[in-house]
Amino acid sequence: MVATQEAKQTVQDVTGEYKYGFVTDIETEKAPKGLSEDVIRFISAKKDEPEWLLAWRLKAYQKWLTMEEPTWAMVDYPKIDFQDIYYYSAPKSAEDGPKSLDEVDPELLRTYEKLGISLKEQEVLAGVAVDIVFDSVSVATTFRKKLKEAGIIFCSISEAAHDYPELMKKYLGSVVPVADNYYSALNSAVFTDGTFVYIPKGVRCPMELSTYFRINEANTGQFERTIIIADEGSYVSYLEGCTAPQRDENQLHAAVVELITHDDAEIKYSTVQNWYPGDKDGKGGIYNFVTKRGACRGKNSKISWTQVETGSAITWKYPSCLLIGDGSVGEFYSVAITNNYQQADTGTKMIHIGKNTSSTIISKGISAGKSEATYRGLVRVMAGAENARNFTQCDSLLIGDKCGAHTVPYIEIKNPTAQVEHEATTSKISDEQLFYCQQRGLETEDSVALIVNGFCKDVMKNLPMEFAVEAQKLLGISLEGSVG
Amino acid sequence: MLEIKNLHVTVGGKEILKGLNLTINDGEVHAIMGPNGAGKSTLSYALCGKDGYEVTQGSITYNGKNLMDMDPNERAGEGLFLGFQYPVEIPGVSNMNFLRSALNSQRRYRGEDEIAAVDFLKLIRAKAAELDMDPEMLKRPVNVGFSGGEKKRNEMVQMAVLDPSLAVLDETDSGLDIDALKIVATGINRLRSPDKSILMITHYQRLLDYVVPDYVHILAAGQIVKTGGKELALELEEKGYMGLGITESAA
Amino acid sequence: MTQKRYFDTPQIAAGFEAVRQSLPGVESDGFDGLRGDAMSKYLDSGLPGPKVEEWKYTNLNFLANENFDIATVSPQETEIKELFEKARVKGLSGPLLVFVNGHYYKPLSTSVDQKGIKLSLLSDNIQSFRDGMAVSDGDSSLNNLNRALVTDGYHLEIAPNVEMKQPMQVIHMATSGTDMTAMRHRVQIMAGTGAKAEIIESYIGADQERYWTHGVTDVMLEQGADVTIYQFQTQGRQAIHMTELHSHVADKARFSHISLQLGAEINRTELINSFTGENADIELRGAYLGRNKQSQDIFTRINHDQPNCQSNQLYRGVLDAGGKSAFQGKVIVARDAQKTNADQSNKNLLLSRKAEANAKPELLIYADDVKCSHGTTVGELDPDQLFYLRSRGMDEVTAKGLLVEAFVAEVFDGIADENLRTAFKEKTARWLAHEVTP
Repeated sequence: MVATQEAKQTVQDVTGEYKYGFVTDIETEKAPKGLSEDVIRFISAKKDEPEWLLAWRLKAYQKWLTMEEPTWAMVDYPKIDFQDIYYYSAPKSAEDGPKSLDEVDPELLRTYEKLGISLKEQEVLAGVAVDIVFDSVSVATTFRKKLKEAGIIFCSISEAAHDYPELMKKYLGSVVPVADNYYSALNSAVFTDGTFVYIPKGVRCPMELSTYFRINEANTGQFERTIIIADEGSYVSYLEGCTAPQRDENQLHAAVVELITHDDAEIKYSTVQNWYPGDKDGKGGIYNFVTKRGACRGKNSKISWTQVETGSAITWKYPSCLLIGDGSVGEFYSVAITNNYQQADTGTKMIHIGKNTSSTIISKGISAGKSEATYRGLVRVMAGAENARNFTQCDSLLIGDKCGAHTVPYIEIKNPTAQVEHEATTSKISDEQLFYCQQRGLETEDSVALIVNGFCKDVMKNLPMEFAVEAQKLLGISLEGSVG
Repeated sequence: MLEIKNLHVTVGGKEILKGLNLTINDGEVHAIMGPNGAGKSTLSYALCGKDGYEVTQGSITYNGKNLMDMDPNERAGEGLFLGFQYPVEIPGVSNMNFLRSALNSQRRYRGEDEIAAVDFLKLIRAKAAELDMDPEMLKRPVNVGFSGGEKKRNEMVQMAVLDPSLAVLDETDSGLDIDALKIVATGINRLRSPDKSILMITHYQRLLDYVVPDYVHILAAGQIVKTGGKELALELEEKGYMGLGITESAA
Repeated sequence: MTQKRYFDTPQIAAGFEAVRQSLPGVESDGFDGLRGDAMSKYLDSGLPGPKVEEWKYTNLNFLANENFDIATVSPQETEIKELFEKARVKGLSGPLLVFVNGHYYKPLSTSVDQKGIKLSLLSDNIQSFRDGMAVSDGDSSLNNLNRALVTDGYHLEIAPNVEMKQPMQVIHMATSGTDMTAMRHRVQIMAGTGAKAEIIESYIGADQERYWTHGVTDVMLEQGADVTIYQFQTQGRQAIHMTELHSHVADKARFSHISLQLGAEINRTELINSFTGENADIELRGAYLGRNKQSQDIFTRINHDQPNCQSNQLYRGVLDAGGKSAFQGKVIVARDAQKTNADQSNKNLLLSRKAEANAKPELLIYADDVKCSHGTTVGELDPDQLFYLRSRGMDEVTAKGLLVEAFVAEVFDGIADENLRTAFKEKTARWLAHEVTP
């Protein structure tokens, strides 16, 4: 194993304190703090992974060691000590969680109440030890049976590594290469779980797929890995996250999502992200560094990203589309709300490679408090992409005079038949609109929520119905206290 | 009953209303006319509590309550409605959603239950029909892409649904053709009843042909300088402000 | 695996020491010292590499291997005359200032004889220049390179409430024999309270030479001043053209920059503008045209540091076979700059399969009561319009030419002076007709 020897040497060179004596202990539930080859072997062993996947992880780790943390985004945070993080801990057992809702942060419960979430669900979301046969697990089982009948694979990524190694080998890292960026390399080395979806040829997935039904595994979501493959002529709508804020102690989240569509297939991927944003003074909160990318490999295939980002202290996220197949379509609809000390640098990349490809970008940013929201996007039309079309609309709304809203688009066009249009505006909620609403009897906060919801309408209408209603409430909640 | 005493209002450091007195009893319809810059719109904004309209002296009481201490939405909850001269566009928010939120906010303010969705739908459809509004318009965003006449009609539908006890109509008739003017007049006349009051601010006499006021006031240079019956409006139409001895700088 | 953001150019250091004694101002300690400081600053950072975000679309790697000397050629009178006639905007009677190969050229220049307007050259007004250079806020490595090696330039002062009667024409030319030489000049324009001036700048040069024109301009506008700079960049086909302008715009002042960029192989035009007072106005307009390996890189920045100011930008790009462009326009609205109005429009036409247009219109906004917008488009000529013109009997070349001219005309339509407006439009038309030096 020359490679491993080399690897060890590299680790030693980099860290200067590689411990030969450390032996993997499969029986422990937590890997020691920090990242090393042994920690990765521990994770892989815990998941009982095949040899090829461990090799893949180790290669990613080697790559990661040579990379530098990106600094180009307009976000500002203390340097992360990657050796001060637990990369694996088994899902919490019932005894570790709060015993009842009385032990849960009342602030969190208040939010659940506003969202109209049932008591039972509140317990699940807050991590209260509940009777193991709670509704969603049984629901999940029923769903999976129904999906199996249609030939659809919907399972955890660990299961997929065991049960569908050929699919995994073919698609893992095929859209987001290991070395794509610092966090994708990190994720590739240490991902602990995530979702695998395969929709066979010609199948229209009969229901919206959602991680909501796998909520019992939520605590392992720090380094999630998601792969969704839509084979020829198939369709799937996938909902990520749930609309209530997650109780979560993990500081760093670095997920990777890969989507693949073959000829005439379509994936609709919707996210409502509301990880803990930190408190009013900017203490705590999640760092959300996500790489999401879809490849429209087939002719006339389509990938549509819709995101409502209201959570996390720091968001660094650019769901993108590689429009490879002729006639393929990419869409990005985004609402990003920041309040208090939140920072979000988010946007998309639309890379037009095939002929007659088209893309649409609608981005709505709302900044309040002392927060900063940046739209960063790239539209690139390659020389061979005949008749490419893009339309981009980026609007920013400022609430209060201590926040910032930024627009940083890149437009790179190498084909004369392209038609590319980009528009951006920045303004505040107009006093006239506010007064009009108030004169009709609406309170200030309700007026703001109403106007902001209107501002986001073009994005919100792309969310699945039941998601949209809750997302709408979430907008109001996120902006609480932003108007003085 | 609305009672305004010695009202002084400053806008951007400049005094616009300079000691205005006005009493409107339940069931009365008043019209205020006056030359440009007399302070007509300032009066309506000050009544409804718009930011930047600073009351430096005097009082406004409504049904015995001091309006000046209240936020605009609280004044609305007390039954005050302002028909805007230039109704504002709110993109992405449907008329229906807007009105339901407004009505329920007012009900909450008054300690009443929220209206049931079905009842609201019935109410708004009925009011729209009374004022010849295409029900499709209720689904469109508030005033976005509406013509001048459509906007004013929309104001009347909102007024009908919210059912205020005092309506202040700020040049609701301006820029309307005769058909739209008649719709607006219908809206106002439907509201008219012994327990409601209406204050119409207008430039021209023609609205008063359709909504006959009990009192007509002439506002000039920040004060009411003349009060009379409906015939005062006709006299003004005939002789002009100059003919009545009123100049823009009078005071 | 750190990628170099800047790269070294050691031959420049050696070159500097070799020529230092022959540069104007050597006798003035202050000036020579300034040059020395600037050179060491430059050497600290070197030339911006491709990893520098602002230089994303222009790669200067080639400069590391090419050695440009200070131009010392003695030019031919007839050639100068010829270039002068091509560059000069006809029908104007204002003062003329001509620089040949980086040095003032007296025979074709005229003096300014208007009370309240003071024009001096770098070579005879070292003191003012040094003062001006010391306060100039440009601190990029290229600005420092210019500070160190500048050979000539002019300093213009317009006294309070004086209005320049006729626009002043400034022509910078590079003649034959300037191959592998660099010409660095500096311009300082000081407009007093309520002063008004218009300046027409033309850049022209020999097609067969690879020369490097490198200019830095500082413009200071006092309260209520009004300055417009018109620029014709019609450099030779192999030229490297780099200009950097810094403007400071005080209360109620107004600064305009209107340019046509159609020459040079590599053009980098930077316009960095700052408001220092309220209720002021900045307007930047330009057209850039490129083909045959030409790269037009326009970089603008507007620092809205003060409330109640307004900025407008309008840029049009036309790229034909082998042409490449980048428009990078950044608007920064500071926290207290309420009631800012900033608008930017950038449209690009691609006329060929081998053309490329890049754009990065940036808005960084920290104040809430603002109205800011930008719009960018890239596309080809509208086939319906083209068909319409052809159905009226026009051949394809004529029809295309007409549409492109109309597309660009928007930039120049607002120019009041007819001679000037015509000059912009005619040069554009000549470029479209593939004439050698437009």
